[in-house]
Amino acid sequence: MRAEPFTTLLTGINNDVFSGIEDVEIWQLELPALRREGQDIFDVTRALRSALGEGYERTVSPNHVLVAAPVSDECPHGSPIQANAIPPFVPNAGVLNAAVAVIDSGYQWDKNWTANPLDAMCQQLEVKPGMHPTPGGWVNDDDDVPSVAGVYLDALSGHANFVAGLIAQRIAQPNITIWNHNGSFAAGPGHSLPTEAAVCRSLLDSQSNALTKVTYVGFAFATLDDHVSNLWDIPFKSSIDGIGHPVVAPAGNQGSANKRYPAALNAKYPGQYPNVFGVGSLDDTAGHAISTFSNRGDWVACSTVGENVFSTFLDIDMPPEEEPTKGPHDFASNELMRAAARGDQAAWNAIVERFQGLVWATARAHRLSHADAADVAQTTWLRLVEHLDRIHDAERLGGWLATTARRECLRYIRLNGRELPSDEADTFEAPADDSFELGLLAKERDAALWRSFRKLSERCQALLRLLVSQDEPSYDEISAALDMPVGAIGPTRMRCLEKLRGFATVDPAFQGGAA
Amino acid sequence: MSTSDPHDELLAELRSVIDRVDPVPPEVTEFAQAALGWRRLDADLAELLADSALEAEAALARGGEGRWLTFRADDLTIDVEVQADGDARTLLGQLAPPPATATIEVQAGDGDIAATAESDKLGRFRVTLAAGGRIRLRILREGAAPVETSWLSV
Repeated sequence: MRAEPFTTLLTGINNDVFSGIEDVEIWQLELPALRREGQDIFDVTRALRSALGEGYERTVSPNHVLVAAPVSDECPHGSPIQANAIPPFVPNAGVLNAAVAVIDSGYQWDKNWTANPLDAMCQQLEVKPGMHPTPGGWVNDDDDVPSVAGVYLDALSGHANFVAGLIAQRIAQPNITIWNHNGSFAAGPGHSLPTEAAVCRSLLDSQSNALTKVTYVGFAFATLDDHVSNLWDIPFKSSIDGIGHPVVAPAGNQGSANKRYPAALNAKYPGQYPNVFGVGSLDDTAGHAISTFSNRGDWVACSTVGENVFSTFLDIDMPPEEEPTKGPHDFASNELMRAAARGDQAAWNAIVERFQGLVWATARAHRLSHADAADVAQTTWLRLVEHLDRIHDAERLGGWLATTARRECLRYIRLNGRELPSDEADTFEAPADDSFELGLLAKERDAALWRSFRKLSERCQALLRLLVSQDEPSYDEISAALDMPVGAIGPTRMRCLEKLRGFATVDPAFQGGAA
Repeated sequence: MSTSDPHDELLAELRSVIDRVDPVPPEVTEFAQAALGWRRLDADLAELLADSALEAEAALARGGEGRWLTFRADDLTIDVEVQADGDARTLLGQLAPPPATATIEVQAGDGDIAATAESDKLGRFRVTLAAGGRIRLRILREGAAPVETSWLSV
């Protein structure tokens, strides 16, 4: 049994990512006994007791986190099992009075076992191994394939999402910033030690006054023939009893209804472990359906997103010391969309910041007054909120918003009996009274440029307004906003800018103000 | 020799001017941020499928009197005719298929319930609002999840 930080147990990890996590004690539950054939089962239980019971201070410090989470590293996506659907994800249904640290990890500690030591011992331990390595690859424990090698235990496989999901459901207002890192150890969503370190650090940085603690306990062991062995009472009852704070017990990834420790104890002792949550997995891209690979059953207390989640995976590499960026060009907007759909205000604000210029320019390009454009923009944002859970391709979000804003403009214009903007190019329109706008422009040259802009055709004004509405306007978005063919944008842009330059050039104030 | 677009500088100048003359109004940003609070937690969306306001010909054919809207959720279609009488708005609705019993709440843009109505056996309902504005309907049926329509300005 070891009580050292990950960093001393694992090689190949960039230790820097753990900097700043001084107060967090991370334990790795190691069962070296299982590596040896014929090992006395009491060695194992002693090891468990040592890790979870004796020697483990129950007076958990605010930042104390126990990670003891061997679960399957690979998700075999077994066939769906219909029995016993797990309770649905219920966001913002906070019932616990605590803050929680999110710890996740992803390390499968020994894939190279080739010996065959353990079937007999599994019988002795009254467990089923989580997975078997076979000559053809890893198979899950419900496949009726004789194992050719031993128990597959992987410590610390990645399920921060489970913890995050538990928070979303059980913690009322968890002031949590999700950090991420897709570093050298990434093996897919949720499989990154640096991820966990970053998440952990972000929690330490948070201003929450509440205690920050969670225990994440999973084992690769499934129950043998669905029997919850008394054997496992020993370590669990002595360790989990009295912890009081949330214990996340991942249900496991075998697509099985076979109970799995420690959540299996919920079935054996109903009501006795109200803080132990067996957590099943949902697919965030499939309408929160149960992931095919998720274990399920009455012993599972709740479910959360286990696939495609904001909390544990971003499609980008970032240095460990940087926060996830939510800027216009490098944020993983699919993840932002999903986070916003779950009610994450910060993610939503990032989306608003990114696209509000486009929405506003679209409304203004339709010649709506300030007040009317504001109304249309507001409706457009409400439309997006309505559809947050239906838009899955964030790359098209800008185009969707532009289309929606344009349609709202048309609706507004039709209802209010105004004519649509003319499509005739370059028709001259006398500028409106711009004294207010001109008052905002101190420099003569700027005022001259504005006057020149206002002399342009509606079509030109609309296009140029869209072109300057954000840093890198996409022609698809502009096309959607103006109902203009993409192929027409380049030539029109050129022609409108030439006209603008022409008008400006003959304005003495424009020339006079030039640098 | 520069290969950049000769108009890039002009466009940048224009951006700077428009940023000052016509920025996104702060109240729009604030509204947009707060809009997340309107997301549906327990209801199915009835999406706005048709709006005579967007179909000039249809509106003309009907003489421009009422405005017709159709919303559709997975298991419910809501047709609404909006009639204006001065400030007041009357919504004449039809739920299909007709539920045994349904309550229709008209939610106003400030979150208040502006009006409620019960549908009749044929799924018809009628609601009168003192004034127009941004609303959405929430349909409550026995044994089914609530349905909320898209927001709509009437």
